[in-house]
Amino acid sequence: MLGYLIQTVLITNEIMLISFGIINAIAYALNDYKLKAIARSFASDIIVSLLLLWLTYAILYSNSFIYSSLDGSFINSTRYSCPESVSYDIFSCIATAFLAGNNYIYYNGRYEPTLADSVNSFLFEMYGLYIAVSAIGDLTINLFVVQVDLYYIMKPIISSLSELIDLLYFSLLSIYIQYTVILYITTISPLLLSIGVILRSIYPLRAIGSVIISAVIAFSIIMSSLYILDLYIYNEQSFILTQNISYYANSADTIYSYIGSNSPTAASYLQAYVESLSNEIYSYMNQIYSYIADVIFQVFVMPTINLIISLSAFRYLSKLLGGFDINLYRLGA
Amino acid sequence: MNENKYIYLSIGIINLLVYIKAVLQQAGPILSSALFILAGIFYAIGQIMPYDKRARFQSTAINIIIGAIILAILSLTADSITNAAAHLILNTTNSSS
Repeated sequence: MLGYLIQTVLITNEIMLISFGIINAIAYALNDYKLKAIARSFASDIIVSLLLLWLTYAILYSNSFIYSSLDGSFINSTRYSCPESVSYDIFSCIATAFLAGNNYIYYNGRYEPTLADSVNSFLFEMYGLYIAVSAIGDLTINLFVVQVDLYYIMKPIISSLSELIDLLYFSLLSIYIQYTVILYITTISPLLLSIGVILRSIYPLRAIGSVIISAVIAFSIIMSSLYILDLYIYNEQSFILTQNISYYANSADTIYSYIGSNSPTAASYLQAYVESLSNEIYSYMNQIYSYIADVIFQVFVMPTINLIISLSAFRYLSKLLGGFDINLYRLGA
Repeated sequence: MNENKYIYLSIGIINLLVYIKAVLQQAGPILSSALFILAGIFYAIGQIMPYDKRARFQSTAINIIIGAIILAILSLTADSITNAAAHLILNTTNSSS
């Protein structure tokens, strides 16, 4: 697609050069200042479209200085991890590899799982914990005249875990939605960019062309490149719980063994054990909440910031290239 | 994503653009030579006019000649200018150069 884009921009530039000559000649012949201004705008458009082509080529061309300035192992691992259809576009490749790539990606000297894999493994851990805690909560202990229903002790934890699991499922869905959006934008962006350049070379459609070009730059290049920032923040985090789920499964076994022993001292042991276990689970929840906060930050907050920056860039670029003044606050009105 | 669909559409757009370019490249020199002739007519008419009108005709003729020269240069060199721009883009973005 990159080859077609370059051809389109270059041929359009040739057309614009000749059109500039024709309009200029007529403007001089008629000594018409309005036509001269149109001719001048053609000249500036040629320079702008060549600059855009330079920018696109510098970013997308696999042998460009931007590629060589980045770590080779990082680039190779992202290329291996991102879908083949976007592997030519460095920023989209990094963004898709970071979100839900096929493989581990290499950065800062080590291989790391993708965001989707991390959230997925965290979800499995959470689900395991939920099953273990639910198993403990299902126990009813009959101690002589007293009946202890552990469900009431575990209820807040079970309901919290259930809600957090729902949130993690939604996070995973959000990651895949972002991945699909980037993939779609990257696939159609060369075509949209060439359509934008062509429309921009036709004087009455200049503003529409500018809006399309600025939308492509903002959402295909700027939004994808902002995911690199997310990647470096993500670098500090890994969602691995310190205590194994099997510990809680063993706890359920221990409680069963206390119940089965029928010893007179079993009741006091059981009470102490259940208390210490619930305390531990509550403190363990703090770690889970901090991880959930990280997941929300990376899956919802950072992409929202990316989107706001991209929309601002879209608006600014549209004005800069001579398009409409897109007022985002009035779009809903 | 069906990328072939976009490729066929891109080829269609490029073919249309190549056709428009060919038409313009043919029309440019013709228009340029027509403008040269027009400038000559204006200059000649100016010569038979009184001196106040002669100056106006002559300046119009010079304006037309300037436009015709620019048009001729651009029509003939559009390919070379674009190729030079493409080479410049390639050379400045290539890391090995």
